[in-house]
Formats: sequence, structure tokens, C-alpha cells
Amino acid sequence: MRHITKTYPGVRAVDDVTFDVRAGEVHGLVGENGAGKSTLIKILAGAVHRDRGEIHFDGQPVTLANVHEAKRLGVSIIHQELNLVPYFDGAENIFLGDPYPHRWYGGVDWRTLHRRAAAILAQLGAAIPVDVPVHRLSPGQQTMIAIAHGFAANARLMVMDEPTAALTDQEIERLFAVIRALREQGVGVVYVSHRLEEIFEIADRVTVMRNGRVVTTQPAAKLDQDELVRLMIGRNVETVFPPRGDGMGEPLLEVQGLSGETARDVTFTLHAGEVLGVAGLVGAGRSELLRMIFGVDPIRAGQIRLPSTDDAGTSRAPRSPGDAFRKGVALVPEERRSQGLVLSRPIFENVTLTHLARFARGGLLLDRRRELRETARLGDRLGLKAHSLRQPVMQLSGGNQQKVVFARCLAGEARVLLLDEPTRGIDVGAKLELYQIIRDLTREGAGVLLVSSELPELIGLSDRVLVLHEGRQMGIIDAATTDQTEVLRACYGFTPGEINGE
Amino acid sequence: MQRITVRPNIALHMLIGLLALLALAACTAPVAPAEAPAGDQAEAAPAEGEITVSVVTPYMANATTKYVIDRFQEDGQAKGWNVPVTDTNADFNELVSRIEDAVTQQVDAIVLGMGDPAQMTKGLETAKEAGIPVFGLDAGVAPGVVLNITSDNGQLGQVTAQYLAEQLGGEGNVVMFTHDPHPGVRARAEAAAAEFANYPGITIIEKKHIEVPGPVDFARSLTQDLLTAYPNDGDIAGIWAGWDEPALGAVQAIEAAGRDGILVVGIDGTDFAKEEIAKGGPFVATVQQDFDAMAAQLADIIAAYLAGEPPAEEQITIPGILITAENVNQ
Amino acid sequence: MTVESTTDNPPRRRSMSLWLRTYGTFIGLLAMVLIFSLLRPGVFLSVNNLRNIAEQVAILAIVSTTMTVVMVVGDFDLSVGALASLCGVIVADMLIKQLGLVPSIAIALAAGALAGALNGLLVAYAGLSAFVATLATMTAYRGLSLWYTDGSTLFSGIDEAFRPIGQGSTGPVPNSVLIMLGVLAVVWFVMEQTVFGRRLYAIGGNAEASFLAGVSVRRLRLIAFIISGVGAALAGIVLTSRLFSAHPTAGEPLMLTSIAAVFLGMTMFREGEPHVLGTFFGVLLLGVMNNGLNLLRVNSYIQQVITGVIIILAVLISGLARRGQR
Repeated sequence: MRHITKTYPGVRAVDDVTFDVRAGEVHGLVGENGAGKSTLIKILAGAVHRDRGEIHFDGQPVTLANVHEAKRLGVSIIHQELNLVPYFDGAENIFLGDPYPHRWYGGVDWRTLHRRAAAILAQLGAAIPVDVPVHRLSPGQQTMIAIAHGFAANARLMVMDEPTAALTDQEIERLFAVIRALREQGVGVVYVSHRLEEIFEIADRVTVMRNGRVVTTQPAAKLDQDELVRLMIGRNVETVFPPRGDGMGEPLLEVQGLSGETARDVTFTLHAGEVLGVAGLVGAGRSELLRMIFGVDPIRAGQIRLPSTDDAGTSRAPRSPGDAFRKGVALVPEERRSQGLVLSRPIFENVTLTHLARFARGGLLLDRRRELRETARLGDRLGLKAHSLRQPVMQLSGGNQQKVVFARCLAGEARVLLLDEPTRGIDVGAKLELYQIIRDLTREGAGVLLVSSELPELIGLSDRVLVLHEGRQMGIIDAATTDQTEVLRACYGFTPGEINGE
Repeated sequence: MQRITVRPNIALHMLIGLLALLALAACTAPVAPAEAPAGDQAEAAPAEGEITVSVVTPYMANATTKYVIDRFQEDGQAKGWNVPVTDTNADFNELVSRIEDAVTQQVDAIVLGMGDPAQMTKGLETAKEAGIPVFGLDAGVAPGVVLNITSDNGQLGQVTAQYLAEQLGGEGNVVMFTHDPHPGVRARAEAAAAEFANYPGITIIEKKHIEVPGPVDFARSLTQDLLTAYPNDGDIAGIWAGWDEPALGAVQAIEAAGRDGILVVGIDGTDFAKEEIAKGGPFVATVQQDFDAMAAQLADIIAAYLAGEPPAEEQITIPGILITAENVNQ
Repeated sequence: MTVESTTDNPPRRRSMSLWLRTYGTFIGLLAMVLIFSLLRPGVFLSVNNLRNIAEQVAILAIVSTTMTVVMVVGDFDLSVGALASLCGVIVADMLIKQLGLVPSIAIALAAGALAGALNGLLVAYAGLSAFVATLATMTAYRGLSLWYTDGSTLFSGIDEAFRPIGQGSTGPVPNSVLIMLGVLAVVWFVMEQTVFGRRLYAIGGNAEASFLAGVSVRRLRLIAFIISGVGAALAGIVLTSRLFSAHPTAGEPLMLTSIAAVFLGMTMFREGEPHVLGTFFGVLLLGVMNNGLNLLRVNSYIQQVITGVIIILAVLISGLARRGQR
């Protein structure tokens, strides 16, 4: 692709981009949200037509006028949300759109279909049952089915857009093995990810985009993570994580022997001014722990006390989210889009939703001017960027959406903040801002319970880290003196004490 | 824990729901409740040797249908029969299912309370195969129906049309309110149109389909619009309605608009029609079917059939009685 | 494609499609008014005819307005037609039994609220889908009114004081239209200007997120169904007064028509959400179309075909416009 330009009214989404992918290469594509990656992918997919510039495929100039042409040329796009038919099995999905092999009487020859599917997967080095409906497969397996679908269609160029967003570490490893197999088969791969360590692990070359332009294309080996971040956000990053607080204040949340569906006998105290990280593998009960404290998931045993709200005996556990907010406990849910926001509604309505009565006349009649004023104040504080506070939240980037959720928590002046994967799917610049916000909040006297699957973030941001393994509390580790290895081993069920003993 | 469903697209969701509703309404309409007194008996298994004559109807909400079925039920019970009644609320597809239910229960006879038998041939075939006779009570003649007893719907339509034409002095524009899916009402309308054709001065300017349920309100709004569309006195001289309910709606609209000189006739001789006729407003005539005779005679015919004497004809007609201001209080 | 692609870009290439989406239905209504008034000059736009239209749509508008509340939350209520019939029957029976005007109406409204609460409990607390729950109660309510009246029409002995509600006028305006405007104003105000309405919209947009944001989702869904029940009862009362007789199935046509009206209204406002004013335009569109086609002396059967086509067109246009926006 040479000198590609795509302009939308008001925005030059892609500006004079020159970009090439070689056969048998994994080409990392990074940049913050809005940098133009998606538009570039759309142009490759034939979904959007460029205004200017030329595209060559195998040395031949091509138009890429529509999706079908892109497919015929062998361009395959693996979207974040996979285009699979959930109730079809793996083999059917792999050959979806191709004629299935038939028996003489016209019925589908399932045995041959399954054999061919298994062969395709074997070529990619993936062992996935091909006769199971894909909705029963793990997200990682589904991703591989989607890749196999592209491979079966003789894809020469495969574009993967955030393929690891929903995967566990083991699944990511397996996915990388598949990508390496693709590379050996001579397929060119464009790999888009916000997770920079993945880029370094898998990519041969890296292209960095910023504001619709290519900043640089370099071999991955010549870059390091700090350099990459600097290139993406266009300024120097000195320390990724803001400094920890000066120490812990009074206790805000006391959890004693708490058990639920998964969690077993969890005990800790969260103090003012502290970030308490919660580490664990998927299914270790981290989210459940937050949801129990928030009054959503049922509590089997144990006690939750909120000493700071201890007047007239209200220190008991919240019974519902509404009750939790009233007691100064706020949750930033795991799934921002499905659990955190009403995407179709304006920003200010999302911010004021929880404490709406406070912004209303007499607690009943809406006072939009006051809502907007309050939203603007909170937005300024959080660095929220939007054209208008009346804009539907769905038009915002992930980072700005998360700021809306934070603003809602701040609107109620919550002192106990439960953050469940607060930086998932957010670009680097916005992540750094959120880290600063979280630290600012603790400095002002809040206590934060932080769940994150990104260990560097969890350790870097927390004062202490509580580790859960299959629901059991493995211990609370001082974040300042620990490292990823120790926390990860605890996640796999080795008590921190054993590690120290070794 | 609170169960919450997430809706990605409400509009789509509900549109699908609406389509599903229509599909559902088409194939499995809700079971309408059985008539209260009969309901108890319907649930009781027929005792050994007891005769069960099952009545199925799509039109129980209609006052006339209800009246004639009630009479028949009384006459049947007087003969010691078990007479359960099932209503399907204008759903002919479900009517077939109810006939099949009755066949399964091995009733002695099935009575079709109004409704066009041509629309339920499948049910009739099932009954025929099982050897269960089907009788029409003001329904229609069709293969599989042993006998239909009815007012002569043609005669009812003809009498009211004739009365209206004569009251108008054989001159003027007439609007007809019809409902052709109902065979009886269609026969009335055809006979009425034929009768109007005998008067060269009478012009039928509109034939309007009345929707059910809700015929009164429908006819009322429709008449309002017609009065607007034909704004001058004399544009519409008379309204002939296929049954009393749309006639009532028409009368209310005419009275509310304060239009003079429009006469309305209905059919069925319902109580509200008689009350309107007695008041002396636009409602000038209805015709009462002799339902008592109809129900009694059908009960006798069925008794004879069960005793081994099949009827000679397949249709028996009973003439109706015209009710006007002169005889309404008798 | 991916979600992030549309993010952070300012609104673009939206002017035309947005315009179509927002005003398509409204322009359809205007076009219809224009066509009818050109084809029937002096008749269609006469004061008398406009009053007729208003009166003809009043009952439907009441039901549709309260149906909008339920649909804002993302549910819908199939029982409104049967419930309107039932409450119409109840009020007539109470009046025939000489209970007096106000108590009779109060009892009928209470019955509507109760029936709506049953719907709401089944949906919000017992976890049935709104579709299944209200389909079942629709059948039950219809059965109740048939049983209550023994399938017959109640007409004689209704207190004359009841007549003005559906048939009288205050000045030039029919009382039923005043009632409709009242319902419209109150529900509009509640939905657009109060904390309650805002929360209902939030639930409709994302129930789980609203719940996690501390909104009492279940209680509000219950209340939405109660409002719909009361609306149906009020419509049944006005209908009974208008006909001055109670028919056990008189309200049935209201159910599908009111849902159609809300759908038509959804094509007009805010990201396709139900909206009180949009619903009112939907009702007007249906009413104007019916009236106009009657005035043009169009065949009854063809009228139904045209009505269906217009609804599909309205939804299609807004749908196309929305796709164009992407």
C-alpha cells in the first residue's frame, strides 16, 4: 500500500500511509485508538474505499473495490468479534461459504468434511475438536477456528484485530503457535494489539501509527517497550506507574471469611489511601469477590463490614447495587459495554444515572443543566474528551467510555472503589491517565480493590496484592517487593510462603 | 440474584417478537374458556350411556350466537344430554382442533354453532372417519355436515332491505355494512343487494367491510368518515347493516353528528337494537330470527338421528320476524 | 467492523440519513395530510373532520401512550386489548349496579392497575418473558370478560352521567380528546422530565448496566406494567362510554394497533427508542390514513393492504437511514 489516504468529513482518518506486508511475515500494527488502524484494516478488507493511493498485491495493482474482491485475492480478516455461526460445529465454520463435500445422494458428507477440517487444523498445529458447536469452545479455540476458516480459503494475507482480548495466557500461547505455523506456510499476518509485550513476542516488524499517519516501521528487535510507547503517544514516558501512596489510613472495608459460589474464606481489610490488587487466573473468583461486596452475587458465608459508614448500624454488607452506592461503595464492572454503560444514552445521563435524585429538583424532576454542569466538572477532572456531553456514549473510544464509568463513581463520592479490569481494551495513553486517576483517588482518601489480568499493571499500581487460586486466598503480598513470578506462581496455587522458603 | 437480560437492539427484538406473535396467533391461538355452566360438564367424563353433544363455535362473543347456543344447550339438557360448549374466539384453525378433540372424546354428535363449515373441512373429515355426525346450527351446508338448521339468511337480508327501500320511498343512496367471511352475513348481503336492485331509484354507493372484534366502534368511526365524505343531506339515505352491532355504531355516529334523514336497519333482533328502535331514532328496523324454534327443532332432529332416523333434507330454514317501531313493544 | 472504528470520529456523513430517519415518519404524515386535502378539498381539513379524527384516535392514543412506557423498558404488553375490554365491562356493570360514577370508574381503574401489576410481577419478578407472560394474561383477561358478561353485551341501565366521558364535548373539543391529551401530557412529562422516566430509558438501553449502576430494575419494570394496565383500563372506560355499551371483546383491536403505533413512533426519535411524542405521531398517522382512505372511498380490504405497506415503509426508511449512518 502506498500513499493511502482516506478522508471522512472533518477527519483525515488515514493520511498518506505507506505500508507493506511480506509473505511469511508477522507485521505488528500498533497505535492508540483513533490512530487509523481500523480504517486501514477496512481498506484492506475492501469494506472502505481509499480516496487516494495505490495498493499492490503480489506485485499487481489492485483496486480492492469491495469485500468480495478482497476475499478473492486472499485477504482474510479476523475480527475481535468473530464471524462464526455459534451452533455450527468447527468443521462447518471452517468451510462456511465453501461448498461442503456431498455424498452421491446429495447429503453432506460429514466424515470427509470433518477429516478435511482436522487436516487444516493439524497444518496449523492446533488440536481442536471439529464436531462440537463452536459456542461451546473457548474463546481461544473459536479464534483458531476463525483463522482456520481464512486459511482454508487460501488466505495470503491475514489481518488479526485484537485477537487476544478475550484469551487466557495459555490460549494466547497456543494462538501464537498457530500464527507461527501460518508464517511458515508463507502467509503474511498483520497483527493488531494493544498488548505491546505480545507485539514483541510475535511480530517481525512493527508499524506505529499516530493520528492517521505512519510514525515508523521497524524490525521489532530494534525496539523496546518504552520506545514503542513513546512512538505511539508521541512523548516520553518516564515511569509508567504513578508513585504509591504514603501509607494506609483508616479501614474502609473489612471482609471476614467470605465465601460464595467460587470464593472460599476470603479475609482482608481495605484501608483508605490503598490500592489492594486481586490476582488470580480466570475463574479464580476475582469478579465474584467484587460482586459479593457490591451486593450482586449471593454470599454463602462470612461477613462484610464498612466501618467508615458506621453510623446507626449501617456498616453491614450492601444488599443491592443501589444500597452499595448509598454506602459509598462503587463498582466499575468487568464488561464496560454490556455491564458498565447504557451505550445509546448521552454521556451526562450515564454519569448521573446512579445518583440521579441528587441532581434533580426535589429528587424527582430532572435538572439537565445541573447534570451537565456536574458532568463537565467530573469530565474535566478525568480528562474526558468528547464533542458534547449529550453525545451517546457509544461514540466514544474505550478509554473515554471508561472515564464515563469512573465519573459516575466519582459523582457519588464513593470511598470504596471496586475496579474490575478497568483498563481492558484501552489504549496506552488512556491507561496511563486512568492509573493517575486511581492514585489521585486514593490520595484523596479512597480505597481501591483492583482486579486486573495484566500482572505488570496489577503489581505496579497496587500497594498489596491478594492472590486467589480456585477461590481460595493464597495470601496477601506486598506489591513493592514482589515480582510477576511470585504472583503468578501464587495464582497457580503455590503459597507465597513456599516460594520464600525455596 | 437479579436476572437481567441484555438487549442489544430493542427494536429488532420486539419486531421479531411481533412476528412471532403473528405466527403464534396463526397456528396456536389461546384456548378460549368454555361457557361457564357447560365448562363443568365439559371436564366431567361422560358417564356410561350418557349422550354427549358437543357444541363448537368461533363466535360466542356475539350476542346472537350466544343466545341460540344457550337455547340449544337448554333443549339438549332437557333431553338429558351432556352439552359442553367450546368457543375459539373467531379462530377457525383452532376450531378444527376443537372438533378433533371432540372426536377423540367419542362424543355422540357435534354441533357447529355458526361459522362456515367450508373453512373446517379437515375437522369434518376427522369426524366423518370416526362416524360422528356433525350438525350445523345456523352454520352452512357442506360435505360432512348431516344437516344445517338456519334462518334463511337470504330472507333476513331481503326483508330488511325491502323495509328500508320502502321507508325511503324507493329512492336514495344506500351504504351496506358487510362481513363476507361469515357465510350467513354474506348471504344476507347478497339477498339485500338483490332486493335493492328491484328499486331503480336505490343506489348502493358503498359496501364496507366491518372488522371484528370491535364492530361497534369500527362502524362508528367508519360512519363518521362516511358522513364527512358525503356531507349533504340526502347523500346517504340509508344504511343497511349485516347484523345489529355495526348498525348500532352507525346510529351513534349519525346521532352524534346530528344528521337527519338517514335510516339504519340491522339484523338479529338484539335487545339493544330493539331499545334503539323503540326510542324512535335512526334505527328503524331489525329482524328477529326464531332462535327458540331453531334450537328446539335441531335438538329434536338430533334426538331422532341418534334414535336411528336420519333427516331427509340437509338444510332446514326458519323464517325471521321483522321488528319495527310498530311491533317492537309487543 | 470493529467497534473502535466508529469511535472518536466526529459525526460524519449523517446529515441526509439522520434527517430522513428523524423526520421520515413526520414527513410521511405531512405528505398524507397534503394528499388527502388536495384530493378532498374542503372536506379533509374541515374542523369537523379534524375533530372526528381526534375522537377516533383518542382511545388508541391512550393505550399507545402507556404502551410506550412498557416498550421504553424493553418489554411489551400484549394484554392491553383484552384488559381494555375487561375494564370496560367492569365499569359498565358497576354503573348498571348503581354504584355511582366515581366509584365505578375507580374500581375499573383499580382492576387495570391490578392486572398490570400481575403482568409486571410475572415479567420482572418471576422472570417470564414479557411476550409469554402477557400472551397468557391476555387470554386470561379475555376469558374473564367473556365469563363476566356471559359473552353478551351490557347496554341497558348504564348511568347517564357516564355518557359525557366518551361522547360529550367541552367547548368544541370532545372530552375523550381532552382525556387523551391529559394522558399524553402526564406520561410525556413523567418520561422526559423526571428521574423515574430517565431510569426507565436507562433500563431499556441496558438493563444489566442499569442494575449495576444501582437502578432498581425489577421495581421499575413492575411499575411500567402497572402504568400500561391503568392506561388500558382508562381506554376501556372511554370506549364503553363512547359506545355506551360494553362488549366483551371491544378492546381487542387496540393491542396490535398500539404496538404498531409505538413502532412507527420509534422510527422518529433518538436512536430508535420508543418515545411518547413519536407514538402520538404514529397514532395520528394510522388515524389520518384510515380517515383519509374512508373519505377517498377506498375499498375496505385495500385499506388494510395500504396500512400494512405504510408501516413497512416507515420502518424500512428509518432502518435504511440507520444503516447509512454506519
